Amino acid sequence: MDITPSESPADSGLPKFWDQIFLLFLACVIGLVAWIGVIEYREGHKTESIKRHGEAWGEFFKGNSAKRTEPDYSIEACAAKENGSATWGDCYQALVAPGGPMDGLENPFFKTPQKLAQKCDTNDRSTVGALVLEKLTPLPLGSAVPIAVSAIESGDRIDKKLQIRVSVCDKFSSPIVIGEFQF
Amino acid sequence: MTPPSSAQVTEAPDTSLTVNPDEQTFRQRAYAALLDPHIEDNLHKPIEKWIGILIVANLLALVLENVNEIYTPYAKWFHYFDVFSVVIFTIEYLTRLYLAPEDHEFKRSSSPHLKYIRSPFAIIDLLAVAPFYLQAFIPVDLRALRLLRLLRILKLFRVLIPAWREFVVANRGRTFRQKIHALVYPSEYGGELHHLFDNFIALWVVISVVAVVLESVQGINYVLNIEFIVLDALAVGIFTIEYCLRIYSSVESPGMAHPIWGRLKQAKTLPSLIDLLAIMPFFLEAFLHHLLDLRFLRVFRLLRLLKLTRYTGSTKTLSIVVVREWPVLAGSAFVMLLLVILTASLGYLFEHEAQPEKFENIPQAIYWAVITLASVGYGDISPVTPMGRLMTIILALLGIGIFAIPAAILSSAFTDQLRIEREALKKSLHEMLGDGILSEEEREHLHHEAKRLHLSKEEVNQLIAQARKAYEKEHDLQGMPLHKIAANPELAVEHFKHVLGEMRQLALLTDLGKFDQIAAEKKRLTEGEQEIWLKLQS
Repeated sequence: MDITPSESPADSGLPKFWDQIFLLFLACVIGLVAWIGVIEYREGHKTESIKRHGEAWGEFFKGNSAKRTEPDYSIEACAAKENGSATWGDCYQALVAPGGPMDGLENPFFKTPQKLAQKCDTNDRSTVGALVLEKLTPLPLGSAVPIAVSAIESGDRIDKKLQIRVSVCDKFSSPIVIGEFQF
Repeated sequence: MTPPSSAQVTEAPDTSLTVNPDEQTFRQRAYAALLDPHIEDNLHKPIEKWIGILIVANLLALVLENVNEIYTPYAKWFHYFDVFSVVIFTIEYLTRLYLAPEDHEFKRSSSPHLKYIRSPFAIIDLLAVAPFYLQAFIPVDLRALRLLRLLRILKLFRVLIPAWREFVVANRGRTFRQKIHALVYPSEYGGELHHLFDNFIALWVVISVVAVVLESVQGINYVLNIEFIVLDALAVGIFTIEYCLRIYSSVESPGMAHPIWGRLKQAKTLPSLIDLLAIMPFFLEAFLHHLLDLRFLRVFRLLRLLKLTRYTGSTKTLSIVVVREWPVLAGSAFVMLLLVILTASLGYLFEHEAQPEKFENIPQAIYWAVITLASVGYGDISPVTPMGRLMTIILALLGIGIFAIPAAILSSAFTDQLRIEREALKKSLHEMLGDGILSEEEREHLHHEAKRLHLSKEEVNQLIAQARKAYEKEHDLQGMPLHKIAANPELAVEHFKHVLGEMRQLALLTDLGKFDQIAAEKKRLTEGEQEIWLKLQS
């Protein structure tokens, strides 16, 4: 390897053997960065995809908040009726059932149908790409926090209006809050 | 090998402009004030700089316009910015067109305006603004218009091409690796291209750090997630190339000639470690994210900001100061530590019984002691016993002095270091003026150093004046003792000539007849002296 520092006689300035090796190495490094960049970009698109799913849930809640109180509401399991017995579990099943408004939402990280999780858990990889729906319950005045946040349980009654927070879990299983909607 | 001077690299200045300013036409005066690159302190450099900034801002605007969430609410402002940019670029184009007959590149032509219009740079300038005017007459698709506006990047060639030419000339006959070294490290061969490289890296540092900060804002990250990913990959790509170039060419630096140890030595320097830390999170997260949650490494991307320390001398001065004053600082830190431990122990002793939940143990008491000593006083832990309160009073009073010591040491040492460096600058100025002339390169070095030492223009001029005075005093032989003149053969020759000249003057002015008569009568002159006297008259 040429180790003479500077002050060499006139040179063509073109890359020599070791320079070419270096350029090859540099090209490999650039290739590596580009490859990781592409992977990150694809992962980013997966996150975008689950965000769109979350937004779809949000849109559904927003658009059906008033409709579901009407007597002839099409999704009977989600209808809000006085003295009704509709539960969240039944409603959810009706929504994701084949032909339901939320049918076909796929978790792009695992290529499986998007599942509902209690919460995004960074220690639980299975919650990556999952949907998290939490109910927001106002607490009495003077409470330490104004609103209590808890996961919606299957048995929770939905015959009255609910304030729902929609979140999705990213590739690290950290929550991305989509928004809060009335349903 | 010595690099060609800037005068050799660039074309010779137009001497026709050195005529009396009163005799110059308005166009000549305007060219000299605005565009002549050979005149120092005119507006040429600031104009180039601000046009360059506007081009970069245009590129950023173009990128942001593609994000609907940003573009839609601020479409009006984007349009205003576009109009503003086009107005500036049009003014620039028309000014260059008007002043073309004064530009030495076009003035020899029979039709300088036409020659300018046909020149590559003018075509680029026209392409940068043409799409804007085009849409006024022809309905152009917005996406096509944005694509055409990308042509504004070409305007950067106005800066890049001359810098590249200068670099090629300065590095003629040098090896490929030496050229890389000249590009990435400050040297006499780097020229403007090296400055552009530095500015490019600094710009990317700022962009990537701003991106990292904004990424933490959930609302922004929600909208720009993909853009941040692309930006980070681009930044890492650029910084990785920079790091490789620096390590590979470091063997050209003095004291780093060995192909392996030299490069390792370079890799172990603080700036190189910072460079490595700036890119490592990206690679570690990509390869190890399945094994470990390495998201915390993302915060380390903010270390990229430290890369900017390479371009400022102040941090170097500060590190010199810290190293120099380290024993005193360490001593002061030791006293502080001693005081904290002692007072925390006493606090624990006096307060534990009264408040066992707050002064549960000595570590908890240390927290109270530090908060009190630093005059922060959160108030979450406070003493209730008389002795504990007395301790707090003593601690608070001591804290004022103890914390002031390192600050005072650093501040005085920093001032001292600046004084030392200014003295060094003064000394090098004396050396520069050794030949009585301040060359262009010396002047540039002086301005660079003055900027680093935060000296104003007036202070620099004062320093130059002082150095000139000292130089003149040094070369004023009349007031100098003879032994000092004799010690310097060059001065001795000058002095001899001076004495001889005075003797000749004496021979011309005095009455030679009377002189000879007195000298002969009173035998005042020896034969040898008489001979010299006669020779002086011949």
